[in-house]
Amino acid sequence: MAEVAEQKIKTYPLLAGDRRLQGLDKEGRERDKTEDQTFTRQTVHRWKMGWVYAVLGISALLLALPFYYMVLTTFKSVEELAALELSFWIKNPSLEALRQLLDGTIYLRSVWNSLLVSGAITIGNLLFCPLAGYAFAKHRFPGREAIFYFLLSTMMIPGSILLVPNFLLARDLGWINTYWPLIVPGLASVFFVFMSRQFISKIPNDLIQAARVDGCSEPRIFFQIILPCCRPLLASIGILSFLGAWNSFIGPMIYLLDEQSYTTPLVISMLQGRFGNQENVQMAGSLLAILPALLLFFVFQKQIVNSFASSGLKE
Amino acid sequence: MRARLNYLRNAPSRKVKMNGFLLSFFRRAMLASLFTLSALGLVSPLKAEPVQFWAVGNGIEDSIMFRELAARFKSESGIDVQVTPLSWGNFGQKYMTSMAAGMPPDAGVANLGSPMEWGSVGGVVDFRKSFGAEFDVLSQQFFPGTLPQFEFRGHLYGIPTELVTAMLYYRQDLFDKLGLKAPKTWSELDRVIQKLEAAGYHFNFGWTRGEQWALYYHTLPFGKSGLYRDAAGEPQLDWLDPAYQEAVLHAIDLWHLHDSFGDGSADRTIGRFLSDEPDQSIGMMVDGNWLAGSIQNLAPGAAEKWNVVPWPKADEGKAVNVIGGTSYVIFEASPRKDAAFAWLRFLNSVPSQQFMIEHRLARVGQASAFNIPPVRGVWSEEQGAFWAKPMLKSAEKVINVARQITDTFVTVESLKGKQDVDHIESKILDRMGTYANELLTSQAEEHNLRRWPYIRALAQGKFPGERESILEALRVRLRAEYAAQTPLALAKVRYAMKSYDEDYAPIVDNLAVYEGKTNVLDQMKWVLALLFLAAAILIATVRPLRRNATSYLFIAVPIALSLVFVLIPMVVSLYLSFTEYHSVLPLASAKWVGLKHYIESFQLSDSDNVIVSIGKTFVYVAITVPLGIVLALMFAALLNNPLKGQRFWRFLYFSPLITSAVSVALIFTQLYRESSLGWLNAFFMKLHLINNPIQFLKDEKTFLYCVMGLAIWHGLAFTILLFLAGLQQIPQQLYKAAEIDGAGWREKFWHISLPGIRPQLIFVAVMGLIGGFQVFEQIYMLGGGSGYFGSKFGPNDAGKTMVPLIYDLGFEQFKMGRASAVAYILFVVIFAFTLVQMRLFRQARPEN
Repeated sequence: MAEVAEQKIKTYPLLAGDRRLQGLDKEGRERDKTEDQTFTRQTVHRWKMGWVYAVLGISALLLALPFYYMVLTTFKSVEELAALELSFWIKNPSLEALRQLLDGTIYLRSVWNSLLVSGAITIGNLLFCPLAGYAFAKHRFPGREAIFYFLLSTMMIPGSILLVPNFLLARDLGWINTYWPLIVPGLASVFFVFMSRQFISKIPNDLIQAARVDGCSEPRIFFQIILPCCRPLLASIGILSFLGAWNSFIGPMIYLLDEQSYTTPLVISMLQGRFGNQENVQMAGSLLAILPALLLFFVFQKQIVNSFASSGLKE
Repeated sequence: MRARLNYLRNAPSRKVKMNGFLLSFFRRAMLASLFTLSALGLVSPLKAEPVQFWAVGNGIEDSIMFRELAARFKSESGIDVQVTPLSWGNFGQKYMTSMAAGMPPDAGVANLGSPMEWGSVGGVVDFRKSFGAEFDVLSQQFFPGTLPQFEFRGHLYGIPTELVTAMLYYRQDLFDKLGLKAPKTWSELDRVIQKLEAAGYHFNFGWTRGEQWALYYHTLPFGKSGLYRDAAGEPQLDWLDPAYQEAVLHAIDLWHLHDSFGDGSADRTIGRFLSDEPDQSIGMMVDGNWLAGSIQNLAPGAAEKWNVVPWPKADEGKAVNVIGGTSYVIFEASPRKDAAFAWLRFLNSVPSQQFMIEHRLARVGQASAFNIPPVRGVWSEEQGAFWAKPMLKSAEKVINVARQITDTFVTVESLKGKQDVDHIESKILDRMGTYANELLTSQAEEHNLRRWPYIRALAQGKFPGERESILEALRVRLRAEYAAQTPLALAKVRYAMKSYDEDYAPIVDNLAVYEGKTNVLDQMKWVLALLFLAAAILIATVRPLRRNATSYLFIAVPIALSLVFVLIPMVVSLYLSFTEYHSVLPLASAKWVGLKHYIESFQLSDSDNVIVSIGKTFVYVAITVPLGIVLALMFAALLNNPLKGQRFWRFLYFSPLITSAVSVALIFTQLYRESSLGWLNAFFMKLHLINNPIQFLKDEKTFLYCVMGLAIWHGLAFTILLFLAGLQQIPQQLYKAAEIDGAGWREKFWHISLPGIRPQLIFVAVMGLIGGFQVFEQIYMLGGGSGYFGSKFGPNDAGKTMVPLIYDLGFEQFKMGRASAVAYILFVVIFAFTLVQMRLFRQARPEN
């Protein structure tokens, strides 16, 4: 008993003052264990879990409400929308809104556009970030630390500050109304370089050394030894960079002129004007934007959750 | 172990081989990525032969219409026209961007205010100067009142395309029953509203409610346009004129003191208009001229029930129908101006105009509309056969009204700086709206009534004098607002006029000269290129560097990107922040103004000052971050129990993670509807938490909280996820041991869970703070940013936190210098917080 308490206190110094942990009661006497036996543990547990389920269930209902509203409104017909009493259900589901959305916007085209942009950014990050991360983790070269800290410091500069000068830069490069200003600056995110360095530094040096002794070239080491060890890292970079690019809004809004080249969030945002009076079409837009992501999330829940978790845990 | 470490430390000095494989790999990789990327670049606009025409509209239908017209035009003249659709929501920013990039279309559709703004910086052509006599012939076709708004300093930058105006829709059957007549003057209007309300029918102000640009309906009958030029040519304001203030007060009365529904959905408004249910139905409403088709579409059998009359005349003023509408412009950079002009002339011909009218009316549902043609010929006697067509039947009533009022159309001359003045007045009106709403609600509550029963009671004369006292309070407030804002607005417009005369006009007249000049920033490119070259040469020649060429190559991409897209832009931005620069003009025209932008940014009287923005940002952060953490902690602790169906629960709680802010904001915009049919209001009212619907997004006091609600909901998933991941790393034995010792959940939570996820807590707190400074999409969407009238960040700019401010200055107002200055101030603020963040992180990691 005492060892367990000691162990705990060692791990969590804050616990030092907690007498209960040390098996003492408030006055510091040895506690009487029989007191705790009045309820059987199981009853307590069952009661407790009942509460947990109840609270979680009700909260989930509240949290899912916007989604419910979205689905409901999407399938409402014009007559039901014009109704003057509140309804939380739907009588005659209609696909009219979806039809209007697909006819009246370039939604499908925009998904393809978004895929192009996000795909290019993801591929870039998957290649360049582990590559740089590997060099920073395992190579030694003059200026390594300085360069690394320079990179890190650029991470502190929020993108919104660079909106104006990058716009002028894109203008001078003739990049307005192309995907270049959306893709190129995002090809190698410093954050993922950092993540890669952390991950790759844990790969044992023996592996690399053995390969070098065998005369393996550096790119080969990277592709055949490092990358295969990096599956979780690649999954994280892939998922995070893809989702980041997929959902990005302000960049496409500034740089894209031709509606045919719009990405999905942009098309969705345009619904406010285009179908300003038609709640069902707006919701159909939201639904079509959210549904594929939800399905992907349902299938790859574990990987996606892990990527997000890793983005936060690595300081 | 030690030996290995030493070995590794020596390892780098070993020469890393750069063999054939490496080279060929990189060649292949570069080729592959170049190929992919150039495939992506295919969307760049085709600058081919045809006349490029941007058709701004709200549906795809308008571009279909213009394409059909283009086909006719081609068979007539042989000129190809390519029509590209564009939305009203962001058309201004798109045009500006295209002009700045030197790649505008040849011609396009715009709103009414833009032609002058663009013309004054040399973006669009002066029709009079460019097309002389030909233009004079064309201009004879238009109603005379429609042209002044495109004029500035003798230039004329646009021509009208179609007109819209407000009309009064009323229920004929109801009016007959109540013995009412359609109002012809304002005093009649007021009386009719009172009688309707007394009988339990609403008066609804739909279109243009609360919109500053629609004030002309109320002020021009008295000859007051707000901003005008006096005899000496100096810009002046009518704001302090009692007659002007009375007109504005009447507008506020009509907008806010009659419980307009704000349903958002036109279907529902029309549903109310045709309903017979007292307390729910609308007896009379103000709306635009396009509505007839929709009413007809929704209730084809109800044609007998309703009627339309023109906007009533002021009792002692002129009959004035002021218009909104759209215009055509031709861009200065266009190489095909004559072809573009021919196309516009074709569009304004009578057959084309008739084609447009039919095309618009033939659309289904809400897309069906009747817009008033500005060409006189369409309305002439000879066209009687056209107007008698059966397909025009659905809009017959509106057409008849339009016919009566075309001669009374009036617009006023635009002035440079009008945008600034309008913006200030718009904020005044937002504040007045909030105030009117508060007054009415608090009065109602004093009588223990909801808003609508109170308004009914007022109309029935139950509380004599109260309406007058509310109006008096509004009058006092309005007077004070105008008195406080007039000096600032005058200063802004005078500065704009002066800087036009001194800076822009000379540049615009000598564009060619400026285009030839270079600027400091142009030299930057060479410096950058030299830097890269130097780095490459250094690595290739200096021995210790050359040995590590592979390593440098591996890190080259992130380094190059950081240099080009972060470091250099930071320097550029610093330079720009000391200059006055309009991005449509050549960079050489940037004018050094020293600290002007920084000083102005910190002046509280300036409408775009950073102090208020930073304050809002802090409020936002101070509420979203702690609340988000507490909620997430709660859910994470609950989810950390051994639940059945883990996957299901996590799916439920984590799903917002992957949704985009834009689509979620769209949903919330509807949940936040200010009508009692908005879901959130409906819930609160069902639970008896509120008596009157809250004006969520329409009230400056609640707007930012709405954004926060959305942000907390959207951010919760990520925070829960992090906390849960942290909680799961805490060894279970700790809890077991604590349980054995009799610790309850409270002790376990405070002494084990919370300390266990300390790093996550700090991470979330700091990231929330940084993220709060970056919030944009949510505010843009909830503020109706992509709606009809361009970006607005909530009523009275309630949601103008830092990034919206930068965006607005840079990409809506195109004041690049000022935007850069604000961006730099934001940078300093964020930098300070990043330092705090790093300190906290250091504390968060006690070991290693």
